[in-house]
Amino acid sequence: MFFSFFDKIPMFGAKIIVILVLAVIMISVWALPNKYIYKGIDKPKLGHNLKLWVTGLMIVQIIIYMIF
Amino acid sequence: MGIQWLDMLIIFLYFIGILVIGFIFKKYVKSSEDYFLGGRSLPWWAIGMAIVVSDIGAHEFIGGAGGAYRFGFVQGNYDWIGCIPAMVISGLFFVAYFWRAGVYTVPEYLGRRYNIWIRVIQAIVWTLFMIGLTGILFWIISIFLNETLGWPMYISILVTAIVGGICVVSGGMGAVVMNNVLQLVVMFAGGIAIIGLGIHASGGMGNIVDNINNLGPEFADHFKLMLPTNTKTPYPWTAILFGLAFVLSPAYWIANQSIVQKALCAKNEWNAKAGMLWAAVLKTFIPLLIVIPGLIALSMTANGLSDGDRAIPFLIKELLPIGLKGLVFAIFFGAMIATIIGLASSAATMFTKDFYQLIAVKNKPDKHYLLVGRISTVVVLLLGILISSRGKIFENIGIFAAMQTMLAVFQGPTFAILLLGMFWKKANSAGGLAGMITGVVAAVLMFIFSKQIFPGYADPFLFIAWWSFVVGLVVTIVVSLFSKKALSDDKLKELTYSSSAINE
Repeated sequence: MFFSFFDKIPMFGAKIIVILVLAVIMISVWALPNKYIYKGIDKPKLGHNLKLWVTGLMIVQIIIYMIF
Repeated sequence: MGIQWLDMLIIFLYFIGILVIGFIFKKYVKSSEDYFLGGRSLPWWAIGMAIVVSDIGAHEFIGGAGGAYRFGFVQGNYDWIGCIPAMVISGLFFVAYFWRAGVYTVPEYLGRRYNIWIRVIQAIVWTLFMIGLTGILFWIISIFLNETLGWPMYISILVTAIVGGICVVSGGMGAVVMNNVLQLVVMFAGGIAIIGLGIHASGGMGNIVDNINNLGPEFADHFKLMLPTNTKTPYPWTAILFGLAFVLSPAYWIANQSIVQKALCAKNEWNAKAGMLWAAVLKTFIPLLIVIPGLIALSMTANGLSDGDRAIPFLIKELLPIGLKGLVFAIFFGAMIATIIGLASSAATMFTKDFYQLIAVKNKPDKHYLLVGRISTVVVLLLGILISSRGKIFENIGIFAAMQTMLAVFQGPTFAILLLGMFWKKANSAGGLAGMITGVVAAVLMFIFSKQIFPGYADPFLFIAWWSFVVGLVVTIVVSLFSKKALSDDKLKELTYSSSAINE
């Protein structure tokens, strides 16, 4: 009853909402300072960049929700 | 049952391996920090693998495959939208701050941020939940081994408790994590074997799809990840997004001690963050190992199983050859042991640090609390055994839904106060306590009157999670605005997120 507003949204629209949530998280992570991301690592390398890890994760999720 | 001496030998060797890990790590346990947090020395890859095993264990394999058998692909949401975003947020923000604060438990963080009562209430609730979950897992083990080997229930439970108990009591959290690492490797291997043999026996994935589609119109949505709002399953997309992805999942990945405790074992902050993200990478593959076996069982039996939770035992019995059958038995048995010892260790940590050391017996030497930690681990296992004797009550509603229902009562309000505690400096002691209590009461009332409030939904636990979160959030904000700030600015800087703090 409380979510009756969403009954009007077609399944395509629902998918778009889910994909947008994933995309917002992916983009937001890039706003974090590198100093925070690398905290604990003395000599950071590319593999230590956790922003790249998150980006890869979210792209895979977006593809999954686009397909299914 | 088709179990041969080679299978039994493999199971026996696997148990020996679990015991050896416990004895190896015993020499590293000199203090309560070694016992509860592995001496804060573990690398990201081990932490990530341990987190995944803590989460999925065998209950997700069996309960998740059961869910896929009943509801289809939508079950995959529990590991994708229902995990990955929350794990990213947990790893990059909450786990990092918990690690910086040097806490042993999530309730300890809440105690520092709000007050001692929130810490004690949270610790009691989580400890009771973990004891309950341990009982359910013991019960699942007995179903699994009764279905596949014909073992009496009490034999399965006792073997699990003794092997797992020796491992965790000897080696502490370090042994638990290394046990989990071993477990994940063989779990992936066994899962792939079941899928490969199942697809082969079914004549290919196309046949599986055709067989399920031919079962009737009620199976038409079995290959959809998102279901419309009028679905009769517990998983309409609105519930998945608002209840699962926005509330239950973050609450689980941020507040669940058995998950967070693994990350707190990290040797530095980067390893804590990376451990959680590595777990998210591994979790991406888990639905394939869980959902597809459920669909294979549905296709092979034409919906002929008495209970969806019997899908995995059915596949093992029907598909696996001698030797491999023993290995997969060992994997599932080991997965259950790994999850149970993780829960027992976390429950013991909270009892020792958030209750015993905090209130009951203060200022004793560290060796005393190490001993209490070991004894309380054994007590948790014994209570789990006791609860497992009543486990039959969960049979009719499915294992997975039963556990989610238990979580939904208090996870929404807990997430609300954690979220505000981390990101809103004005949240204070009175607000947090009021928000948590009213949120839990609201959740309980919604469960009692669920038929009137959520007509048409067989099990509306995801909606209840959302609304109890909203109640907890609103009450915490309102009460905090109308009451005094309790913490100094220096304390708040240490415990709350701010753009200046993350640069330090």
